[in-house]
Amino acid sequence: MSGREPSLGTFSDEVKRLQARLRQAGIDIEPAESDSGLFGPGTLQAVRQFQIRNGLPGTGILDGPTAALLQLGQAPQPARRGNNPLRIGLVLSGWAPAMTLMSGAMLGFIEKGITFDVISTSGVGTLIGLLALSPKGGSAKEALQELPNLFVSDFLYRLLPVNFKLFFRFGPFGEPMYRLRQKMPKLPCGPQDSSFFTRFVNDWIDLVFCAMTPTTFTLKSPGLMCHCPHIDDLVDFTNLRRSPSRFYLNAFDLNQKRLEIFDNEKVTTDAYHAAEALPFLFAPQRVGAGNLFTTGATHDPTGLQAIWLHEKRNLDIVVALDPLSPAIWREPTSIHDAFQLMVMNPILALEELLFAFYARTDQVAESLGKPEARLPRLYRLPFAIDRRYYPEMLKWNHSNAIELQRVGREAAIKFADDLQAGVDEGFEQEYRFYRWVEKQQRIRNLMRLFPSLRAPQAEAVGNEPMRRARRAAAVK
Amino acid sequence: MPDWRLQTSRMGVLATGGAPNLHLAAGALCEFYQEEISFDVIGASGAGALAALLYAVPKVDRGQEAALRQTVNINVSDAIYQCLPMNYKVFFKRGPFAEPFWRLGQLLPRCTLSADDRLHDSLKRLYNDWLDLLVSAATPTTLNYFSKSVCTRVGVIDDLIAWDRLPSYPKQFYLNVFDLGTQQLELFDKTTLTPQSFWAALAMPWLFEPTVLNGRTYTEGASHDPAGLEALWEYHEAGMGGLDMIVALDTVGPNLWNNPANIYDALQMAIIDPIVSLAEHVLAAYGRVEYAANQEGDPARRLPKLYLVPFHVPDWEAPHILEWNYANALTLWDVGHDAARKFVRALKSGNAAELEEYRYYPRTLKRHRVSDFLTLFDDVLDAAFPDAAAQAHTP
Repeated sequence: MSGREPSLGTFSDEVKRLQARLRQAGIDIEPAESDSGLFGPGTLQAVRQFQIRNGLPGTGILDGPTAALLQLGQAPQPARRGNNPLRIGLVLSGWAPAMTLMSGAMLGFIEKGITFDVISTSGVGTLIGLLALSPKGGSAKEALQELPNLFVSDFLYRLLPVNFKLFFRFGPFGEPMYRLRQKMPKLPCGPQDSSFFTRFVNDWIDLVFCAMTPTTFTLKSPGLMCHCPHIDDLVDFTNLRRSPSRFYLNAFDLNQKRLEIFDNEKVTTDAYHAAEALPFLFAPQRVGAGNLFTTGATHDPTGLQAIWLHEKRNLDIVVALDPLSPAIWREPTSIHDAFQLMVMNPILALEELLFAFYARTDQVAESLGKPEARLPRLYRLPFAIDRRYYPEMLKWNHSNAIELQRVGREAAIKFADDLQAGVDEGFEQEYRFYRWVEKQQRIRNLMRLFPSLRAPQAEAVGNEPMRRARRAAAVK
Repeated sequence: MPDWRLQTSRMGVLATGGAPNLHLAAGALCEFYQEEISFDVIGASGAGALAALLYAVPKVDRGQEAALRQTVNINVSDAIYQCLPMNYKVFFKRGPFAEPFWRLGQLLPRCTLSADDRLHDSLKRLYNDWLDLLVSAATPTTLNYFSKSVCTRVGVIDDLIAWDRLPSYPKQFYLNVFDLGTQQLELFDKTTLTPQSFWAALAMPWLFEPTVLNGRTYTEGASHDPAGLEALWEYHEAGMGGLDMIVALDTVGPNLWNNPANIYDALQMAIIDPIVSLAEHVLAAYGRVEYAANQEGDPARRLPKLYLVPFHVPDWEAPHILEWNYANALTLWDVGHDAARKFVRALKSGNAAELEEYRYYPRTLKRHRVSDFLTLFDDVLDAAFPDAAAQAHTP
């Protein structure tokens, strides 16, 4: 925003941006004014509402503190298509050990000055989204860089392949023991520091504390572990309400039997634990004094549902990280690995299915040329990971964490460079999700069931060769 | 073979995956058999495949009814299950000793249980299951950290299915399986389905090791298309007569999502939860698309209509549906049987409005867990089928 405050009747692109920011902050603007660029009574009222909500005097004037809260003065370099700024959304999901892949990608985006108007998350993506938008006592970059320290020393992990730093024994003693451990001294060890000795000593003490933690676990327990008590040390939930970016997480309501979407206003520690509550690992989580929830990742592992339900008209593009399903659809290497594959197999299938549905709908809407059918365009951030590395990706050891963070960061930097260079046909070819879907035979086979979601150019592909291939594959 | 089974019905049925679905599907298919409802094609996935095979080719020719009633016997006597909540009659300890020990156990003298013996506290049942427990406990295992699964398959199924008669089954039968090499969902049909390929299709990771057949490595298809819908589409598109109707047996979804009663319950929920969710999403999306296409009235764009046989599990039973005890098996079997009876009544009534009550899409609108998902397609389908748009929204 330029130095001059807009007054009633002002009509400009800056006002348009202000209106977009207000909408992202959850403030409704009179439909006649919304996104018009006109600073009318509706916009004035919306600014006033925003000020009161954030503890500022409700003047309706876009003064310095208000602009700062809306991040109008400090907007990083936006991605641009031609001369128009893009409104970008990001969906984050994925399996837990790959959290550093996501954190790396987020670091890459931060490095390139890409900010997101909306971050919608599911499962473990929730933690990354929260760290990116509302870290406690530091910057998003620092919080995301720190994540490899939640992983276990390679040497210890070889002896005991469990992440005792993230998963706490079932019962009420997990949290006090964790707090006690935090008071103990630790050897200084940066997140990228692979030094054998310091990492081993720190993690050994963590292991001792874990082993000493009493548990109330019995066969009647509804879960194996208790929720990670350190989320309140990592995330500032109050600050999240003031974030100009919209944030969503999903969780499944066991009482209502429906997927509930929590936004900035509703996200609390309980809601976070609900989003992470994968059955068996964690007991269902009660949110406030209300209903019981389990993770939403078994119902919408993409996080896309929040986009089409709440942000359909507010975004130009949505970026999704590659689901990397071949890394999960493989032979197990151990019984521990097999268990993770069992749980993740259908979740990844559902994730691919939902991405494919969205991508195809996006494609058909584009080909129809009808604005009412339009969805934010979906793009895929691909990761360059060698197939031979796939079995390593589900491990909780430190070297895997930093490797995945490196891969994620490099992928995001390349994507951001290409995006900032302009969305041309080359970019579409490389990153547009539906272009990728067209090349995936597994998804193409599945999409034959939905001929109405077949884009015109897909007709030419034909189904007969596919069918022959499938028949030939059946063995006697 | 009764003549009714040779008639073309232009109807297909889906026997969906997920272990609790076995008894529900067995009850429903038994009713279909009793009422002489024939399907041109069966699409099976995961545990639904066993019930579907018993409907098609049980070991005893024309013994469908008895065979489908006997599925409840794979569950464990209530008295034993109360003390040891696991099904050692289906899940055998890992290692090479499981098969010989199971064979040895079959030689022990047992009480005969008729299909009509439905007593929960039957001493005969307790005795038989106690023998199986002793054999299971005595079986050595080679399970260790580097094992790829916790269980081993034994020949239980071989004694129930007439594999030699399957290729001559007059209708089509498909079972899906996932090829880890090509990363594709493949289909075994009646000519390629054998005991080995059946086990390959049920090789759920962690429980069972991937199966190698002719140099290809397979795991279960239910983790990818638990509804089995792709199989029916294969038939519909392959020029074998096509389909007018697809009948989907319901999932256990509405009763599955509860606070787990114990850690076994929680484990089973972790396994079944995403599979059921995946099945519901695929079926709901297809139901939405076919409803819009068929409402439009353009014959060239018509699709097979999708119907649901809804299972109404009583509230008192819902927290127990994941249990492997006999009482649960019996209740689920009866629920499946009753649900199919009502559906068959509507099917045979000739009353289109009555049958329409079972149409999948209108029913999903009452299920919030998928109705929010279906809004993704609203604008695109409205644009693609403008004449049907209004009807599609208010069916």
